[in-house]
Amino acid sequence: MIAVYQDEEGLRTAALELMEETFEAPQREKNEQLAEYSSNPDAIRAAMEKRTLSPGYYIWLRYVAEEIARPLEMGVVFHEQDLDPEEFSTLVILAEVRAKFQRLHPPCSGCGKLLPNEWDKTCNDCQRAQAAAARRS
Amino acid sequence: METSEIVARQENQIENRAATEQNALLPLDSPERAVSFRSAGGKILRHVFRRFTATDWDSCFAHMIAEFAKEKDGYTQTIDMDYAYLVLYERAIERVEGYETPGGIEPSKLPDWPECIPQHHRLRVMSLITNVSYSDDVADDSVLEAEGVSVKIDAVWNETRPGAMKQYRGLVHHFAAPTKQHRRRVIKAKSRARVGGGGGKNGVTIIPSGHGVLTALYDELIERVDGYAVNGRELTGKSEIASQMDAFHKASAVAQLFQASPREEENTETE
Repeated sequence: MIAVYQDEEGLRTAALELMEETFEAPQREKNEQLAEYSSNPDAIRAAMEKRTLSPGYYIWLRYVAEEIARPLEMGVVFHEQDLDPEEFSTLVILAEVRAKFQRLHPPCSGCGKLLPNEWDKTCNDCQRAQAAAARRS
Repeated sequence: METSEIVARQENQIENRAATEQNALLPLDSPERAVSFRSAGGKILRHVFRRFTATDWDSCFAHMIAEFAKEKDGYTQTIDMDYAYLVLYERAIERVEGYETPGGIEPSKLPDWPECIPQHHRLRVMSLITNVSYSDDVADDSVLEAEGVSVKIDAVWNETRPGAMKQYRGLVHHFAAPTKQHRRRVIKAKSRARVGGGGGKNGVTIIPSGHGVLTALYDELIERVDGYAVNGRELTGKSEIASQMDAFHKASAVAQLFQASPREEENTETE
């Protein structure tokens, strides 16, 4: 039996998958519409699926993210005795994974929108705008 | 006999009694709790328990688990209560009446007691023991209380006459206002997942019962109750309430206090 709140490696994997899932939410919505008209909707939905672990990892992460990390960001103060070691270590994991996610998806140098790839510099919209501006000048 | 008549006879009669009526206090310290119902054949069957203790309920709650398994599209959730209720039944049942046995021997003397009682009867009895619900005996819950929060529940407790159970309505639990930390403890209890055989990827997620947290919060937050009695008088004082209150009523009241989803009657008109 694995206690998910003590499985740091599993939590790292699940946290990154959740962040990728949120990042790809607009595309997922489009794919979902495509799936409705597809002859093989299950294949499209399976391709969109980011979660590879048992649901317990995401349930625990959602609890820490919504009940502790978000209030912390909004300025709510937690005292040391308010958090147990598992909650604290999950907060650290969330911070580390968020930093990794930001490296994998740097902001567009033009508009700040997160980019799909680590090596990208600007988004398609900004590239088009730059090209149009270059043509005009 | 018409099918509907058989169904009507099988249905257990529950008689309502408002907690505010005279002599209608729920007797928490009744030495025995009797549950009776009519069998499919129309016989009245009685199941008599000793008083359920906090340890009995802890044991029952410990066997309640929610399981989540991955599916193609998301996951399925299963909550198994039956086994937990059968464990509780076995711990506290003292005798049954109305059953026939070879040679007229007491059912409790049979070698496979209490498994000799049909499982669907044991589960039916436990569904009456655990028949506790949010009370619709609330005049207007848009009226806010100046201090704390009250929760009203209805509960079936004991038989009122053979074949009929008494329901106590409008039992009041008045709590100190819970803080965000209390709320967080409830959500945390529902989130402390473990993964069973199959490992992190394919294992079934199991979330143990959070009832222990609910009963602990009850003892911390309760201020007064209405409708309950011990030794024939109303319960008074936080410590007496905490020590005498039935643990299932504690958990049910606190669950209502922290209910996250709207109740059925809370409708919003749309045009």
